Amino acid sequence: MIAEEMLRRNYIVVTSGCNAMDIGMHKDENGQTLYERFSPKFEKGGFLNVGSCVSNSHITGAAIKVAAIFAGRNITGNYEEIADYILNRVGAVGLAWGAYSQKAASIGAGCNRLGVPVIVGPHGGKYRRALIGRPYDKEKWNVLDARNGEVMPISPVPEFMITTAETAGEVLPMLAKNCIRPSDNNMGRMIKLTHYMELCEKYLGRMPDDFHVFVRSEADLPLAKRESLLKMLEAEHGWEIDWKKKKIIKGPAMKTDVSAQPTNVQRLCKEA
Amino acid sequence: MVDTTKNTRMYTTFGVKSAAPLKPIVAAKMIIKANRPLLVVGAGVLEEELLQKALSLGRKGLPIAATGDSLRGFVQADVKASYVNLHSLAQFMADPDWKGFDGAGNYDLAIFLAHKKYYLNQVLSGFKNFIPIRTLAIDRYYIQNATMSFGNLDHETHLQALDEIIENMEVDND
Repeated sequence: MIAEEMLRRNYIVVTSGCNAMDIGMHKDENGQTLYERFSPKFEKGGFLNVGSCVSNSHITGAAIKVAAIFAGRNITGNYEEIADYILNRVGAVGLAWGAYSQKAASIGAGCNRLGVPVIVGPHGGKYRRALIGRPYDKEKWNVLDARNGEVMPISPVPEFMITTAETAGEVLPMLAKNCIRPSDNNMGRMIKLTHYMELCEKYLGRMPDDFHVFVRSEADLPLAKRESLLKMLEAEHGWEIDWKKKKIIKGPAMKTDVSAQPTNVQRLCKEA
Repeated sequence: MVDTTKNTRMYTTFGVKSAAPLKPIVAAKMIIKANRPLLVVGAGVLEEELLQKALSLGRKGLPIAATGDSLRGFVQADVKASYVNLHSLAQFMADPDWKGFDGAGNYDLAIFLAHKKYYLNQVLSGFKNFIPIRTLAIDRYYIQNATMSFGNLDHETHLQALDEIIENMEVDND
């Protein structure tokens, strides 16, 4: 159900090991599994089984390749920079659902090292490991801008590095929300916010209370609901809106800057 | 009056410190005396009978933290309910500077209802060891890591115990 919902929304879903086998046992009314219904390529809406659970390294490897191919980062002996790149720019979230083995828990911890947040099921709390942020503590949500070393406020994302979720209905909005990254451009943020809001409405019954903290400008808002959301931001959060231009004048805690280069590593800043 | 203190048998243990058995009347009095009580409901509350009890508690003025996907049950209701992840809630409550859901500050009593037993025990383990906030488990099962907990109850007795709490409490947070 979780994989299908995300696939229908054009997320790339990559699976391995016993989860991959479990997903293969579920068929729709036409007798088809998700493997038969969705593209087996690493492209939007693609669904891949990489093999046994130790092949999870291919999944984190894909995140590393984003840093290597798109950003031209050196991936030899450069773990810190690659993990920093993934944490701030690659919208990936890991999910280890169900009562899981120590091996799966350690794979989740490995994802954390690379900057990928992970959600485990309600049994996952038994491993006694959680890295949860405090989204309300706004002063602590800052990164550096690698262009000049200036401190840059960001939305509280990802909200955690590893945490638990109680039900599938809870985990779906969590997945969408924690795909949001500080470096999102307007189009990316808009798509991610659209999915987050829709999944909240579908599985929690109402709009999320915190969507406004991810909005940097009117262009981040879902296109179909932009006007009603602007009204909501004005009425409930006191934001100032220029209704002629349909633009936000005052309210967001941060600005959109498509050329900003968020990082947590001081040495990567040009004027550091 | 329902006796909710009889069966406190455990099938796994989290150490030598265990929750004190809790009677409904005591639970009601503790809620009344608390300055900032918070009812934390899990996904199990979506069962109709339990949902009605949670709504009744909410109508008495108890603010509700809806964990899992339980918020669905409170969307159209006339109670104050906010979504939060249970594990995150424990993390927030450990912070004395957390402003709560209404901005008025952290809570001093957390009441847990309709959670998965193994999940709640893990979360309450954190409360027991690191968070100076009292916790009441008014679930069907004995929750060892709460400050006080109902014993293991059958479904009917549990509903009667919840009714008894509702009858005996009046909370006004406004």
